[in-house]
Amino acid sequence: MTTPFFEVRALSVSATSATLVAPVDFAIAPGRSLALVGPSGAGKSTIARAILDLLPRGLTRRGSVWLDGVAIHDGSGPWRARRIGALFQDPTTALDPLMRIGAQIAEVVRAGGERDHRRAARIAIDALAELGIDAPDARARQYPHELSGGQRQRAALARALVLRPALLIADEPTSALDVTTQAQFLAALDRRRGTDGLAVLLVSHDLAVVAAHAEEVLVLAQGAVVERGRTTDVLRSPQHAITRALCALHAPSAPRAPHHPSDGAPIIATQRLTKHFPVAAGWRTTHTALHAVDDVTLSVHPGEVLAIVGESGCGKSTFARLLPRLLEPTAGAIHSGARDVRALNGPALRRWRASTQLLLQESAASLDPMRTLDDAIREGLRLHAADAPHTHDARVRAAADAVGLGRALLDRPPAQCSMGERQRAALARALVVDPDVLILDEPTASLDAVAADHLLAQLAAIQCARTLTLIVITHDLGIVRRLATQIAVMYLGRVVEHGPAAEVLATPAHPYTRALLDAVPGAAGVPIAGDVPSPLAPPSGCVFHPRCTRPDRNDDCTRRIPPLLDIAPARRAACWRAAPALPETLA
Amino acid sequence: MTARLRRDPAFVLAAAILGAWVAVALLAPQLAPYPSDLQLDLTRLRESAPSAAHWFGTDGVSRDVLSRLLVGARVTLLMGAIAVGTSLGLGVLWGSAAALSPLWLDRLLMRTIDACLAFPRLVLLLSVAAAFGQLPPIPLAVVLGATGWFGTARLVRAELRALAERSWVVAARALGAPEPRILRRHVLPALVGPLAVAASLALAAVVPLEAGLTFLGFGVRAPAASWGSLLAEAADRPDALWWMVLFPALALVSVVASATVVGDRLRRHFDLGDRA
Amino acid sequence: MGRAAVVRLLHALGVIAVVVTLTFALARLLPGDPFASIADHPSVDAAWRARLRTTYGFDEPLLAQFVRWCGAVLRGDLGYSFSAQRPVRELLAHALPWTLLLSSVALTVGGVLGIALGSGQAVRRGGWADRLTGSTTLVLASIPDVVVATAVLVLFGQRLRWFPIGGATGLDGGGAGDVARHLVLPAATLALLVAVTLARFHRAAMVRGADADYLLAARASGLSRWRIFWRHALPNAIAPTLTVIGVLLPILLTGTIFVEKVFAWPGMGSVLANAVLARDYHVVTAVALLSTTAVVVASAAIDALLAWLDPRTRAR
Ligand code: SF4
Repeated sequence: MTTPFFEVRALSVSATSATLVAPVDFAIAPGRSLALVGPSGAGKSTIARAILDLLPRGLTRRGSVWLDGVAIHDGSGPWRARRIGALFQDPTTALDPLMRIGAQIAEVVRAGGERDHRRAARIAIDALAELGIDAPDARARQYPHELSGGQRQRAALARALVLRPALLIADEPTSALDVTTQAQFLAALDRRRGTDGLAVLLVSHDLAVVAAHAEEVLVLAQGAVVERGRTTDVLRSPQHAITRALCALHAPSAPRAPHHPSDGAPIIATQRLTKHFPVAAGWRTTHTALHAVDDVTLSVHPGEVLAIVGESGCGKSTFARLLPRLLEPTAGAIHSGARDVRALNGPALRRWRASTQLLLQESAASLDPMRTLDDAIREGLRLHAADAPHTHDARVRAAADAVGLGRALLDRPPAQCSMGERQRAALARALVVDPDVLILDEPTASLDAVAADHLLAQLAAIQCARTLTLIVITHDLGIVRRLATQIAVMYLGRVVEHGPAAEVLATPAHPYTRALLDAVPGAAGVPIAGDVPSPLAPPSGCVFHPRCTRPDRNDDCTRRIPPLLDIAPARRAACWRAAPALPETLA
Repeated sequence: MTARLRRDPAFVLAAAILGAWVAVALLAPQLAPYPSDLQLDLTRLRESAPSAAHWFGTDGVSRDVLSRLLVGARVTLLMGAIAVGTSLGLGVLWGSAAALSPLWLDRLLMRTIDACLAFPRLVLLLSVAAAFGQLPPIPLAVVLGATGWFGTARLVRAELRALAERSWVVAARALGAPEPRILRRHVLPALVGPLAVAASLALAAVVPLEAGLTFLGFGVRAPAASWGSLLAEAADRPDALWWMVLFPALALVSVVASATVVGDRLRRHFDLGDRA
Repeated sequence: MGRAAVVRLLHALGVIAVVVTLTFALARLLPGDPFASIADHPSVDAAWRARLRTTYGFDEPLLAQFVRWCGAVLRGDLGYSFSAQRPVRELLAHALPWTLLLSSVALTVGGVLGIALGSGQAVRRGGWADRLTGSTTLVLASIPDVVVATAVLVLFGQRLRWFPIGGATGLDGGGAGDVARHLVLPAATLALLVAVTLARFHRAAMVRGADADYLLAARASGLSRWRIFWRHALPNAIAPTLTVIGVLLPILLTGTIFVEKVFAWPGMGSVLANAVLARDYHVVTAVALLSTTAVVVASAAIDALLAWLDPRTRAR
C-alpha cells in the first residue's frame, strides 16, 4: 500500500460525561473498501458521522481526518459531497419527500459550483443513468414516494456520488433493502470502486455483506476496536467473542435434515389458501384487490421446521397471520388433522390460536408497555391452563429459563429491557402455553447479530427438546440454513418452490429460488434485474416472468399460471420449465 | 417511565403549581384574611390600592380582593373540573361508540363531530346563553364542558382504532384471549395517557373561556366570585383598578400555563405526536 | 389531484349539511324562543305572543319547520332581528366585511410572525432565545383573550394614545387612512394571539422533523444551512403547521369575537355579543351558521392547499 490517501488519526467522540468512541486509527486506499462492523450501539455510525463532522448536538470529536494530505473538518472549505460523499441507512427518509429526485441531485451539483440550472439537471440525470437506473429522465421527474426502496437508495447513491468524491461513507446502506435489490445495489457500488477508484467506508452489521464487499474490517464493541485486519483473515479465525458471534450467524452451516420422514398426517395443511385485501383506487372508489396470498397449498408435518422465504411484499407475513386466523382467508381451507380450522369459533378458535402460537415480526413491541414481563408470560396460563394458579409461578419461571431470560428481569416493564430480552420474553409467552406449532415472523429482524445468534441457538435447542413444529418466516437465507428442514419460497403471494431444505438450497428448481441464492452476498451469480411488481396488478401467467432469466421460457409463461407440481420425490415447483428439466438442473 | 417525567423540571413545577391551587381552593376560607363577601367599609375602603392590610387592594364595594381571589379559586377550579369531566365523559362515550360501530354509523358519527368542531366554541356558548340567559356556576360549567368534547371524541376513536392494530393487542389475540378481556386489560389502560393529555389541555382551554364569558357578562355573577368575575368588575376602568386586573390575571396565567405544560409534556411522554 | 379535490368538496358539503341541521336543532331544542325578549315585556300579552308564533310558523310540526327553514336559508333569508329592527341579512351584510378585514389582516400577520418565531426557535433550539420566546409565548397564550385585548386597549389606546380606538372609523367617518389607523390595535392584538399559538405548534413541527435523515443527508451533501432551511426543513414543517391552522380556525374566531367586543369593532363578533344580550335569536343562529360555514370552507381550502403542497397526498 502506498501513502494512505484517506486517513483517520486518533478519532474519538465524547459526550459531556462519557467517552462514546475511544481513539481509533485507520486508513483506506483508493478503490479499496474498509468495513466497520459490530453490534448495535458499538459506535459504528457515530464514527461515520464524526468523520463527516456532523455529530448530533452535545457530542464532540477529537483527533483528525486526512484526505490527500489535507486535514478535513467543518471549517476546512467545501469538501462534503465533493471530496467525501455520504449515504445513510433508510431509503424511505434519505430523500426529501417534497422534492423531485432530479432536483435533489441537481441541487447538490449546484452547491458544487455549477451555475447553469439546465446543465445541473442534465448532470443529475446522467448520474442516475450511470448507476443503472432505467428511464433516468422519468425517474428524475418523480418524487421519492413513487420509487421502490431499491430505486430510492440508488438515487441517494447517485446524489452522494454526483460530484465524484474520492471517498464514500455508507452507513448501513442496504439493511432496509430486500436481498435481490441489495445485490443490485452492492454490485453498482463495486463497479464505481473499479472505474473511479472510489474508496468506501462501509458501516454494517451484516458480516456476509462485509465479507463480499470489503477488503479490510474493523470490529467494534462498546466504542472501541476489538479486532481488525484483512477481512478474510478475521473471518477465518475470529479472535474476539463479538466477532465469533457475528461469524456464527453467517457460518455456512449445512442445512438440517428432516427430523423424521414427513409421513403421517400433517399438523397444518392449507388448500388453495387465498387472501385478497380490498383497496380503494381510482374514480368512484372502484375496488381492486391486493393479492397478498394467492392459492397456497402447503402442509407441515409434526417436528418439521418449515422456512417460508421471500422478499418483502411476497405475502409471507399475511400467510403467517392466516394460520391462527388472526386474518380471515378470502378463500381456501386450513385443516389440522381432521379438524377444519375455518369452521372453528368461540372458545375452540381461541384454543386453536393457543396451540398455534404466532410470534409477530415486531415481537419486541408485542409486549403491553403497561405490564411486566412476568405478567405477559403468565397471561397465556391464566387463559388456557387447567391447573391451579399456584403452579403458574413455576411454569413462568421454567419458560423464562428455557429462553434464557434472567429471573430478575421478570418484574420489569418492557421499556426497561433490551430488544433481545423483550424478544425472549415474547418467545417465553408463546412457549408457556405448550403450543404444537410455533410461527415466527422474521424473528431476528429487530436484533443485532449477537442477540440474533443467541435467539437462533435457543430456538434450535427448544425445537429439538420439545419436538416442536416451527414455521419460520424470513428473508434471510442464513437463518434458513441454520434452522430449516423444509423450505417454501414465496413470490408475489404464491409458493413457487417447496421441498427439503438441503435439496432446495443445493439444487434450486425455480429461477426465483436460484436468484435468491445468487443474491446472497459473495455468491458468484449475477443479480437479477428489476423490482418485485405491485401485488395490486400481478403479471399475467407466471408471476415471475418479467424477471425470469431462464433461456427456455416461452409463451406459456406469460399466459398460463404454472401450478405447484411434483418435480421429484418430496419436491414441488411452480414453473413450466422446471418439471421436465429437473435432471439438467441437478447436473 | 414516570421517572423521566419526575426528572423534568418544567413538568414538576407545573404540576406543583396546579397542586398548590387545588390545596388553596380546598382551604380557601381558612386562608383568606377576611370573609370574601364582607363589605368592610363602604365609605373608606372602596377601591383602595394594595396596602399592608389589604395586599391585593379592595374592590368597588370594599371587599378584600385577596380573599375574593382565594375563594374565587374554588369556583374557577371547581367549574374547570366539572367542565373537563363533562367533556371527557361525552368524548369517551361518543368516541368509543364510533370506534365500535359498523362503518356507516362510524362515518355518520364522525361527520357530526367534524361539523361540531367547525362551530366556534364561543358561538355555541353564546347561543346557549341567549336561550337560557344567566346560568348559575355549576350548570354553566356543564355547558362549558358540553361544548368542548368533540376533539376528545375524535382522539378516543382514533386511539381505539390504532390500538386494535397495536402489536401487543394482536399478540394477545394470538394467545387466544377473548375480545372483552383484550379490551379490559390491554386497550383501556393504554387510553389513560391520551385522556390525561386531553384533560390537561381541556382545562387550559376552559379556564380562560369561563373568564371571557364572565367578562362579556354571561358568566359568574356577584356575590359569587370567580377569577373571571373579578376581572369583569374592573372591566370599565382597568387602568384605574389595576390590582383587580393584575392579580386575577396572574392567577389565571399560572393555572392555564401549568395545565398547558403538563399536557405538552404528557403528550411527549406518551408519544402522541400531534394527535391530541 | 382532481379526485382528492372532489372528495374534499363532497366532504365539506356533507359537513355543512350537518352544520345546518345542528344549528336548527340548537335554535329549536333549547328552551325559550325568538320572542322571549319581547314576550318578557309587560305590554305583550299571551294572545299577541301566540299570534307571533303562528306568523313565524312556530306551531308547525318540527319537520315542516326544518324544511321551511332550510329553504329560507338557501334563499339567503336569515330571519328578522327584533332588537335591530331590520332583516338579519342586512345586519350581517354590514358587519361581515369588517370581520373579514380584521381577521384576514390578523391571520396573515400573525401567521407569518408565528411561523417566523417558531422557525427561529427551532433553529436555535435549547438556546436562551428559544427558551425566552417559548416561555413568553406560553404566558401570552395563557392569558384570556379579553385580558390581552383590554391591556392593549388601555396601554396603547388610552395611555399612550398611539392609535385611535373604539369602532372602525372616527366620528366623522374618515377614509381608508382612518380605517387603517383604527385597524392597527385590534388587528395587532388578534395577530399576537394567532402568533403565540402558532409559534408553539410550528416549533414542535420543526423539532419533530429535525432528525430526519434527509436533513442530515442534505448537510452531508454540502448544501448551505440557509438552503437546507428554506428548501427542506421549512417546507416539510409547513404541512403540519397548516393542518394546525385549520384546526385552530374556530378558536381564532372565538378570539375575534372577544377582540371585536373590546375594541367595539363593528363586525360579526360585536353583532353576536349584542344579540345575545338582547336574546335576539335569529341573529345568533345566523351568526353561528355563517361562521361555522366559513370555518368549513376555510379548512377545505387548507386541505386542498396541503394536497397541492405534498406530492404524496396529491397522488392519492
Ligand atoms: S414458468 Fe416460465 S417465466 Fe415462470 S419461472 Fe418458469 S420459466 Fe420462468
